[in-house]
Amino acid sequence: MRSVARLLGWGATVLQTGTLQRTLGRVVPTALAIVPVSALFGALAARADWSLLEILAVGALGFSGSGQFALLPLAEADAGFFTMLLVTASINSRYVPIAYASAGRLPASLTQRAVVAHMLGDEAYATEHESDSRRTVILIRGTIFGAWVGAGLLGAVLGQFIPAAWIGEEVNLGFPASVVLMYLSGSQLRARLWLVRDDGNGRPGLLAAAGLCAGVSLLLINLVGPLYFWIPSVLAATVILGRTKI
Amino acid sequence: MSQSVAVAIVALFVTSCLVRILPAFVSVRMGPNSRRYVERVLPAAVFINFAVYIAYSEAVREPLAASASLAVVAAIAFLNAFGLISTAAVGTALYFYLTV
Repeated sequence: MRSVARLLGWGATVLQTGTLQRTLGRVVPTALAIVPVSALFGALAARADWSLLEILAVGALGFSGSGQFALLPLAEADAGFFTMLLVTASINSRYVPIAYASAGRLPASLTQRAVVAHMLGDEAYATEHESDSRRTVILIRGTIFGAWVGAGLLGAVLGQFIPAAWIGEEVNLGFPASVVLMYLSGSQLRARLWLVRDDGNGRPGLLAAAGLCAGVSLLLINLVGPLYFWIPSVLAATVILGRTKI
Repeated sequence: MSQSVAVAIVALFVTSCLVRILPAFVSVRMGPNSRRYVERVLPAAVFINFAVYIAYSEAVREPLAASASLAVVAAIAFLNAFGLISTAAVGTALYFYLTV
């Protein structure tokens, strides 16, 4: 009862301060962009004979776009637990630095902290700002998480009515989500690399360093592949940017 | 629930515990320089890698359409010319126009 009362009190505060409208204005476009991706997963999983409960569980407990897609064929091939863990941990290893860097924005309570940390995604991280309150962070992550889980179920239901060609390789339903993530990344980089130097001094150096980081990242993708480049590439970029006046 | 699907769900949940939940509980006392790295340098490094990864993974599939669309989107975002919704519409429309 106390938790419900606390939640209701939080909702009332959010409504009064207008935080809800402002935050939803920021997060809803992003949440809508991931709907086709999750719906596609739901449709493909349903066609692989996954039940609605299984699709709900993998969305809520797994909450990983590329991880979920990667496990579809592995589950069908009856792959072992450690094989699946190795694949998903490699794909999602990028979350380690992100989760650590954004930990300061999480609630202090153990359970809430764990739940909100679990709801961390690329889109949520790119939507959040350093100055966001814990309530705003919960709202952002909860909205995107809810959209992902709900869209997976929706896709599973609608999948049986959609022509097979639409959910095959021909149509790239995931592209809008890539566009949104690119926009959010560009906006974050503008704020962190460009606007941070109000006087304009050091901007060329920062841009050159960012270009070098992008080149190293591309090189590492080609050397070790898009699955394993994340950790070495983020570390290399951190070292390079650390030498600038960021 | 079939066993292989249950194993897949458990594998994804354990992954989430390892890469998202566990790091959120790691607490290290930091000086000003370390804080600068965690709060400013590391996020910028992550966003550069996001951008490169998105561009790479989409360009592998449709080199011209994806490169043109994502370059336009990145430029609009960096110049702060339009909002998210209009930019997403422009980028997506350009991509599908070039792939038809």
